[in-house]
Amino acid sequence: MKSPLIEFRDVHKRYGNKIVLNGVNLKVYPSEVTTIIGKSGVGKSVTLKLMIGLDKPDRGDILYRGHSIHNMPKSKWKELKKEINFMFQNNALFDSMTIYENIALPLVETTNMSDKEIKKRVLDVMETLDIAGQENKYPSQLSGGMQKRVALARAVVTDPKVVLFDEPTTGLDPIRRNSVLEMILRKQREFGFTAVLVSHDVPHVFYISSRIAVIDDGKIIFEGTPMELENCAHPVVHEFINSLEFLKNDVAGMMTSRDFEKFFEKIRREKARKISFILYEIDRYNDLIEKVGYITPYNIVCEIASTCRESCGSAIVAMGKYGIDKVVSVVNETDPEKIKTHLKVIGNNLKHREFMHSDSYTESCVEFAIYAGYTIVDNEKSLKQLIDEAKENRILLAKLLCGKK
Amino acid sequence: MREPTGLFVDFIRYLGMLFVGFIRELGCIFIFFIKGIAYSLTPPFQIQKILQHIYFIGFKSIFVISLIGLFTGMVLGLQGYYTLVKFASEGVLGAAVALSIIRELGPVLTAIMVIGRAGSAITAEIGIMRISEQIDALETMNINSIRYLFSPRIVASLICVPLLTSIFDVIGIIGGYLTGVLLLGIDSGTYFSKMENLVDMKDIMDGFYKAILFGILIITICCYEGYFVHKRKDGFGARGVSSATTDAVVISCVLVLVGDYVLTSFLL
Repeated sequence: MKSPLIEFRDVHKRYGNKIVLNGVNLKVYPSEVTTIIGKSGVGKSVTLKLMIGLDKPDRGDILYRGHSIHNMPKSKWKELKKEINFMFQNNALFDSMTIYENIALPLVETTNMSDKEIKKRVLDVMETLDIAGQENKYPSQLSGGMQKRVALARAVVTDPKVVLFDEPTTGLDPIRRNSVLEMILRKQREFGFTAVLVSHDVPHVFYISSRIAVIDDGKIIFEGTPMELENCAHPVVHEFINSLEFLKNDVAGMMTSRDFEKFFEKIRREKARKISFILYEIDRYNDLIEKVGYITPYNIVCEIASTCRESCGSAIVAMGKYGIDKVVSVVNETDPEKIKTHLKVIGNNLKHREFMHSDSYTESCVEFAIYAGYTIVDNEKSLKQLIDEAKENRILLAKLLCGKK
Repeated sequence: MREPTGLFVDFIRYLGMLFVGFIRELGCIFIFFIKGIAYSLTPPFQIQKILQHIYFIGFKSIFVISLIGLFTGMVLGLQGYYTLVKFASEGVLGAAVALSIIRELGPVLTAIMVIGRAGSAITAEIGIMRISEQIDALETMNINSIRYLFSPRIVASLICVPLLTSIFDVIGIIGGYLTGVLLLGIDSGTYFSKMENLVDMKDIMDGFYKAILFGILIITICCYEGYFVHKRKDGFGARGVSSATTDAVVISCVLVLVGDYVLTSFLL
């Protein structure tokens, strides 16, 4: 197994009364992209600054190539530090220097290269990062994306072995964000450096990361590959990786399946409560995705949820998304006839929604159906059994055939 | 043993803390200065940067220094004449103007003009570099930020402030000549011969020593205030930089005047 290039051993750091890092253990392996994610203010940037020696830990040790960076002779650390470079969150470009001078600065100040060699090296890096021709401009004359590239050029111009990126995509639009991430990965492969990223851009950073570390409450709560992260059961990790989904569900007034399960288990144990379980399902959901993409099918799921709310009103106790094509709800009603009446009303309302009109799909011929099934909640049965029962009792609410309603 | 308490004790404790803080600050400034000097004496020498700062601190200050020197000399000529004429000693006006300017006004007023023109700009520039992480960026690039930012400036200041002072002195003496000789009719030969007789090399060297001391004080304080702007209680953003700049100007001016008194008392 590879030995780590950088290792944090029980690192503690506090500023005033605020404990920022509380026993961080972290390993960064050579030639990999390691991404540190976490909420704002949990110490991600501090971790990077400790890594490059801009700050010192109060307790614990940071090892570089197996040697403690705070116990080694200053001259040795100075030599090793030449291998590491840092790309700041706000780029930290020298605003009174031109782009050329910014990129050339580390070469001018720390090497014995001739002006000619420096010029060649700088222009080569600028060419590679698509900022050629901007040499005589000042940072404030460039766009945010270009400034990021200049900062990256300055970080890689000395051929470092390690580049630390502090939120390289913050404040960028989605197109520039993706291009910066893609650029980091491309350059990491091209130059072969070890990259450590701090980012909030979940899940986008997962695509370029070899390893992920999640920091929370001053500690690393997860460290592993992106695949391992997806299977991690830690609630903070779960919340982080599903943050986008959470937002969408919140907007539609739906719980996540995990939250729904918890809530359902809680309310079914309330003895006096008589409740029913209703399952709404979109038939041929995958065909729908294939024909119209992801957004419209997701919106249909949300529309089902909002139609239920409008039609059933205060009878709804809880509602959640279950899988990609199902909405589940619990209602304060156990009379089958009344439930059927509710479902008929919902069905009628759904038929009048825009997505049930074939004119809404001009590009392709779309067919799908929305079914609903119900069952009275029996405390002896599991949620899965209730879902199966509801499926057996399902009725058609609305259907769109190709060209017909 | 129980710790003593009470308002008076708290007051003494507060004074003690202030004093300890002051001493600590002085120590930090001194270490900062020593580091700057040490880096400027060890290779690689930053000739190009020193020249850039000489241009900024020195060359760009020549006009304002000349202007202030001229009017200071003219005022001294006027005031000196009306005082000396009461003692029938107007012949020594040239020596009086020259001694006042060379020994006191030249170094002090030059220092104050350098503080206002270059010192404040240096604090603001370094302060902004600090709060926008440019100084951290230097460190991450393995560039010693004190060597890069402070050392060339202190060398430039050590070269420029004495030179600017000498320009101030010469222009000031010319100013005194304009009012004393051309306006009030003192004999030109008397003006310069008395000056030659009464001003000796020690007076010039005293002024020179003061200029060197002021050059060190100004640039050290101004660079220090900017460099450590983030350590201030209000050291955030533009407000932090502005208050650091104000403090740099005030502290430098006070130290120049205090230093002037102390050095004069040693040199006399």
